[in-house]
Amino acid sequence: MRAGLAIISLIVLAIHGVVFYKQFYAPWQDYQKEYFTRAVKISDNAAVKATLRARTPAIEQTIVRSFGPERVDRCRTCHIAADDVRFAKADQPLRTHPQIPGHKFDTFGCTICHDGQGRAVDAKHAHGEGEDWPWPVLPKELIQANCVQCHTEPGWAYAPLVNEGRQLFFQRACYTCHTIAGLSYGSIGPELTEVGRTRRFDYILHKIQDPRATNPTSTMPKQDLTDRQRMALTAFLKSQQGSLVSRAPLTQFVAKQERRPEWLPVERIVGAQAQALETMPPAERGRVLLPQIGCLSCHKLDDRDGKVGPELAFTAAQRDRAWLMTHFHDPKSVVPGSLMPPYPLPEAAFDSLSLYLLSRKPPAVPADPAAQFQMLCARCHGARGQGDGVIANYLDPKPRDLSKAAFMKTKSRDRLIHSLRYGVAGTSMAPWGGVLDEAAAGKLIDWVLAGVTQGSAVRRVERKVPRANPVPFSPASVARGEAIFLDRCWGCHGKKADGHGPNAESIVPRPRNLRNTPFIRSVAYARLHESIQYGVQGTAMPAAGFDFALDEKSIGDLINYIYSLNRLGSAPAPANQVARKEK
Amino acid sequence: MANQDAPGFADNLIHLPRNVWRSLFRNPLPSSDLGRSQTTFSNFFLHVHPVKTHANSLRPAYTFGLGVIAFSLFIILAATGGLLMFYYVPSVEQAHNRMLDLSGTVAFGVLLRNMHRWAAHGMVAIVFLHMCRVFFTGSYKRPREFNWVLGVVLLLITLFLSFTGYLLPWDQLAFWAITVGTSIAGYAPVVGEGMRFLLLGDRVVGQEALLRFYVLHVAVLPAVLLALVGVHFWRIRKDGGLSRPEGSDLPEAQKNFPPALEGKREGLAPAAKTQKTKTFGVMGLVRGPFNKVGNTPDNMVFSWPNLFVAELFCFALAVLVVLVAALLFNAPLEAPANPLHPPNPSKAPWYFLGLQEMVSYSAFWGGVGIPTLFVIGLLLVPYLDRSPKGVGVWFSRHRLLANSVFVLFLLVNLVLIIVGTFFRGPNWSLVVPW
Repeated sequence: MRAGLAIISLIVLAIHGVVFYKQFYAPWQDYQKEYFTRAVKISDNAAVKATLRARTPAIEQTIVRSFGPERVDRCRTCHIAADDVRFAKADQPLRTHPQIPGHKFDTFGCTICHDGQGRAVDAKHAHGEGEDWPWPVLPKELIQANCVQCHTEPGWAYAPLVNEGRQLFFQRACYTCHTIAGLSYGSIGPELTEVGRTRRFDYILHKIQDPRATNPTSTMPKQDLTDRQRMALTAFLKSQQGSLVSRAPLTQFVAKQERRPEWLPVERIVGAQAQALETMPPAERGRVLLPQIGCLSCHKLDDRDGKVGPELAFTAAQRDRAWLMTHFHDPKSVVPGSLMPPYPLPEAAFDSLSLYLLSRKPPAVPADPAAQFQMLCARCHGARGQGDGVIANYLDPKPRDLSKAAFMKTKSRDRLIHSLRYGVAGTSMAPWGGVLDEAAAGKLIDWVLAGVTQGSAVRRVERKVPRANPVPFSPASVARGEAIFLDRCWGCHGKKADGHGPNAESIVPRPRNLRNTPFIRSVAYARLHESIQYGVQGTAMPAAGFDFALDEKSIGDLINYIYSLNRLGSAPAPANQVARKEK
Repeated sequence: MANQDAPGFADNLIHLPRNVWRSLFRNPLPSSDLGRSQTTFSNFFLHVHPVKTHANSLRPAYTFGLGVIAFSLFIILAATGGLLMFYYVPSVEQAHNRMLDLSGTVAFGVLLRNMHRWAAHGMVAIVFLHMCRVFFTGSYKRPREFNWVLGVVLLLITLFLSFTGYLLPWDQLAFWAITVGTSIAGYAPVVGEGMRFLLLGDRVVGQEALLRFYVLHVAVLPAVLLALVGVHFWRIRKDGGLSRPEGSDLPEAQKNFPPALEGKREGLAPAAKTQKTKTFGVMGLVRGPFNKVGNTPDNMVFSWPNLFVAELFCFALAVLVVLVAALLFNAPLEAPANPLHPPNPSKAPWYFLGLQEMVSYSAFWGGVGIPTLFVIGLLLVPYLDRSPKGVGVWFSRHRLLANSVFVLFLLVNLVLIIVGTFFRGPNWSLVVPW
């Protein structure tokens, strides 16, 4: 044991040697010694040389108190030549720092502009590399995000990326989903007032590049942006740090208390152009406004395509002014599953946009059904009609997979033509009757059934269903219907009847959202009754009349419950509520 | 005036070094067994030790020196902790910055911090292993029941010390681990919320919690620990030293003892040699059947040098391992604590991960019920198992049931900790770590 003790003690002693070596021969000392040596070589003054020779490496630190909580910046321990102009061409860390008039190191330190971790004296920790420091050293082009914390005047000349980012923030419709205090109000995405302070710059950049990388269920569209535009947006967002150091606390407080206005001033969105807009005729105003306020970040018009929303070129044939204005004010009231945020614009702006869209003549539709399909249908239903169009993932309910014979060949031709010409209320399926007359629509449907739909299917025998609800609407009936629903239906349709039941994720097509009021209102009682009693072929909806032994009265109660969910006190008037668009 | 009896001032000056030394060290360094015995008995720093130690207690394979290693780790922690206290400030604004300074510019700061952290984890593990050793050798039985109870209390204090220290860096790891840990404490019925508020000084982890945990960690708990450790050592003396098996006093037992032990060992000796009436100063006041001097034959050896060398070896080993670990592995320091940004998953420190895993099944039973039952069980063990058989040997046949039950508890706890550490990912879902 004595021998062991001796050996261990010797090893401990040796370790102390290592420890002392590491402490007193750290890299920053090497850098400083190299600086002293090189500075001596290029100095010509004997006194200066003597001073440099006498210098020993020491930690250089600046304590910064003028800009918020105390910072200690020790960057110049390695970057010792930062203020020595003779080292302009040297390699880092001994390179001179560019001269910025009015920004002395002793007052500002380093991290206020560059971020990074000021207190460390080794490169890895000082530069904030690794996961554990939220503010790594910024790349050169993003430093301006910190400049504008003090230089707050909008459009400041030395922050071009930030300015461009601010423009893009509006042009790409970010402002409609995200709130930045004092700038925009959106309630769909997270608030971005302090995103520059709470998020790393690389996180922001990657999130813009691929919104679903960190959150697979995000509904943030993946925008088509150049690298420079992405950097600009990142610079702008990095500059949103919630507390501009030069603004008085009172101003900040007041900005945060601002109540959400009805609409944003148009100048804030389009900038200097707002003046010119005043004098234009309304339709012209709409034409200029539309690309600037972010519509084309999602929709398609002419050569710009956001690949998230439907094409706008056919609006004149599909919609009227009333529909457009309702839709602008609150898209979810028309299509409950819509991603489109309510736009915070004044009435006049909506007016101009509607006028413009309705004034555009829809493009000519070819006669050949295959070409028609590609032009009108493929964007949502996919080039081969399999429900996988470019924008399919952003639509709720998802576009129908037209290649499934089990569904397509078991529905009446009339119904398919009706859906095509009059659209399906409460969904993104628009009425195409404005460009397809009865004959053309029939031809297209036949072409789809022959070419797109694969395989065959047999329709069930004709069914007998009542045309009106045998059970009058009453609270008792609704209660009975609710009991049946919670017994049989919620596993797919969800406890809230919104189509998000526990089984829903493994079923295609997804269970119907029964709170889709425009849809429920547009469907005849008979069809609802038939769907419940006989099921829906081509979907997972079972024949509850047989499988669950629901009689007519029970089904009537169930449907009354569904009506009650949608605040339809009694059965709505029979089918064809939707305004027809005749060609 | 200079004369024979009173030395003159000049003499005093000349002999100053010698006189200072002699006033400090009044007895020469001992050179005989008697001298070493006297020093062991009367020196301030040494007198907690017995003058003679039983050879069985010095067998490495018996105790593995775990108790001494635990105490050595505590000394290392106190030393490094005291030095760290010069730089640390328990304020939510300053704490993390101070940690950065420690890692950056304080001389030997990284080493100090690493040593402190790894010694802390080591102490929790070693104390736990020490408990296992005591259990498996049946060393909690009469007369050592209360010492075992003290040991359990010391284990809890050690865990609490580690827990309070865990918060001090005030980074994401610390903040959320303590949030989880104190939430588990809040699951206790009736007193849970009150306990949590007492711990945190607030409804959430904040400045109050930091201050409280700091005071507990640097002042209250070390003082309590030291006091109880003192009693724990005193009890060892009163119990006649460490436990040993029957027949360890016989000459046959000598083949198990370490060969390097110095000093004569008397086996069975003729009875007439002994002097029952001899007293040795205050030893005459010692009561009980523990006065073995000259009464019974034994395999005792002198503590100086055998016990002291063994203790120094354990201490040096502890220092070596902690130093090497501190040089090789850096203590983590994550982003500054952000109450708005919980990591997913948030995990308690490793010694509480078994608890957290159990909590994921049932908040009350996992976090409060089972742990409380376990601690109560531990405390009651020496009072429920009073058979005197099987003491002093590892895994004695006589103690098969007790040992098996304990091993079962150990394994379950180990598995829970391993699952909690490696197999739990975001939302506490099961993940495969490879």
